[in-house]
Amino acid sequence: MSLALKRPTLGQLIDHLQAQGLLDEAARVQIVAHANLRSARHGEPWFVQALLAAGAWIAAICFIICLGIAGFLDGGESALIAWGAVFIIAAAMLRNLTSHIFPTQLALAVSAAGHGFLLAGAGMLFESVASVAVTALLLCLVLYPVYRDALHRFLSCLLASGCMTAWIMMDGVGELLHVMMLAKILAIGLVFMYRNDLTWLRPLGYAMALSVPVNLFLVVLPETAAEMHWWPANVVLAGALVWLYQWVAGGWENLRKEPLIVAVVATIGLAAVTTPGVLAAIGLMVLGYARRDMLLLAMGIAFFPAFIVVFYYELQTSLLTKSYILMASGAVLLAAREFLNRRGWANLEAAV
Amino acid sequence: MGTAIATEKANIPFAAEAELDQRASERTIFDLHAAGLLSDAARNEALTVLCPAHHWWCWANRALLFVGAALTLAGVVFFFAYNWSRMPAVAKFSIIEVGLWVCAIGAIRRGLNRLSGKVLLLAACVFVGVLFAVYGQTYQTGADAFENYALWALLILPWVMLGKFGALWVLWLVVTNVALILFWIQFEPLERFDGVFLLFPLLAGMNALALIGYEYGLAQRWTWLEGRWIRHLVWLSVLVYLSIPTIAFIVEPEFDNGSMLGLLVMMVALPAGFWYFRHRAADLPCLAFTVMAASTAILTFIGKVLFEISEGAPAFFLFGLIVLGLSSAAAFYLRHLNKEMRHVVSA
Repeated sequence: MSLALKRPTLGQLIDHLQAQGLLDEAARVQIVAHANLRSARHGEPWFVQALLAAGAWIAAICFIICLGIAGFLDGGESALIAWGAVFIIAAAMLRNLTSHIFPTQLALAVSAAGHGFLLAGAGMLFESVASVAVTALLLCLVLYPVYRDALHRFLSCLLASGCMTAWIMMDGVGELLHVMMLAKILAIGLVFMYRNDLTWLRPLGYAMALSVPVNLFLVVLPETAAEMHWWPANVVLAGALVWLYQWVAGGWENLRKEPLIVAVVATIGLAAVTTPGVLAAIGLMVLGYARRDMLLLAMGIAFFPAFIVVFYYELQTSLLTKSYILMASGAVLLAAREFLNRRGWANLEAAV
Repeated sequence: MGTAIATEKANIPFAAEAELDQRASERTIFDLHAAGLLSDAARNEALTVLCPAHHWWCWANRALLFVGAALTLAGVVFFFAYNWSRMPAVAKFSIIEVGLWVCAIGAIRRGLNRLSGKVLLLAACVFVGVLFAVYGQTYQTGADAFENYALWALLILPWVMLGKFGALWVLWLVVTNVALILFWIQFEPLERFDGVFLLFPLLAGMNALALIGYEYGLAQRWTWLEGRWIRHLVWLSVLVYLSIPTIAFIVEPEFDNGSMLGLLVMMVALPAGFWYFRHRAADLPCLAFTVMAASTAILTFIGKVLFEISEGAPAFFLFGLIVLGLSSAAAFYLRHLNKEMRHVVSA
């Protein structure tokens, strides 16, 4: 049986591992049970999650308006903070009581409304964006282990990241975005490359993977670009890509192989000429393909056109310079491909 | 020991064994290794079997080609969008036409049965668009004149038909959509045009025709159309185009602006799409888009009725609960469909 030519089923793969003496019969039984459980737990398509999140957000806005009209929030910041805390605690309790879909959705909407109250209250109390960001971060840190819901964890991390970014941008310390991006990349690496066993951390990984491109939009957006430099982001992302290549290749020592040397040289070349968005999109695509994770892969692919559109409106650089940057980036990638083809590494272009 | 294992194996339900018939993925292997069910050696062997080095190079080959070509073409577009006051028109046209010819000849030389040939043909089609944009800049017709886009679509049509390349068809469809939108805007200013929402059923109809063509191609086993992303993109565009007049009609019913036609077409498209993607060409994302579009229309209608009766706190509370109920029901149904379709595929 030539498993290398056609993608095998899980059963065929297990048979192959047993034939190689790498798996015994008991392990096979456990794997079947585990695969079935995993399928039941993680078989949820992304659009179902998106539908649930959208429904919860709209409902949360309705609840907030409802309480506002009813006068519950007239007590100012103290009322907002109190109602926020009550809503979040109630939501966490409800979610931990049941896994049925409607109460889960209700809990998510109530928690979202609670987050809105609490963040608004903190902002009004301390009259600063920093207080909102710190509150969002604290809520995320406290609720992540307590509120056992992947969608809530994902949204909570995304909210905290968004508030932190807003704080950095509004307080005029934009260069800190690069530091935050480094932290996010380390989190992505930890979750998807090294602690794959900790499935409860995956919502954090996805939230960080989504927020890195959003950070990069801010690096090049017209209002902020004048105060920002690209090169720190390029250095961080190029380093992250090399780190990713060695993981894919199975260790640092494997980076000595010719195609990986080409990949590293092309990455350094790209970092020298391109914008960080291109590097980030490539990183998400490579990680997504390595894990066969369609969500990460789709994020990487979708980020390309979005970044090019945002890049078009960046005001610090002229369109002419931007065109040179993009053409040079494309040329680096096409040259790398051509080299690999000529050396026979990637000369597998099938008829399509 | 052997008897115990045999008993344990016999106790595995049928549904669990069905999981063995699913195609294995790297993600499954990572999960099994993380759960301690595969040793390091077993994981490495499984990954080698699933994704041998040549799979990686094949993927990298395609990714480098697509991304490299996309960046280069974006660079070309940016280059000509730059306000070239000192470059004579003849130089601009010459550069574009040289690029166009190089790509077209390159496509012929590489062959349209190879990916690089198809990407070169795509690049040539983009150069045609750039040529029209620069023509519009130079002769003051405006780069966004609808004639430019209509001619662009018309001129590249033979190449699109020859190319047998899904991405090229999508480019053509996008250009055609933009041409129709620009025609509608430029032919008669929106403020004075009664059938303002008539544009959307027209766009939906055009994309629906493209989808029917795609499905026909699949039925004829045109393998170059096999990427399902085209179907998802086109069906989503049909539903978005129909949702706009539908929502407009529900919120503010007017019988002479074209929104009612949009609603009527939507009422046909939703059940037809549901039936087709459920029973003829099972496709969960398309079903999900259909369910979401239906939910949006229903919620708009309920919200309209509810907030006409009252705009007080209870109305908002009730509407929030209805949104939760409907989205939960839709998600529940989609989960059920997902499970059902997985078992059909594995059987």
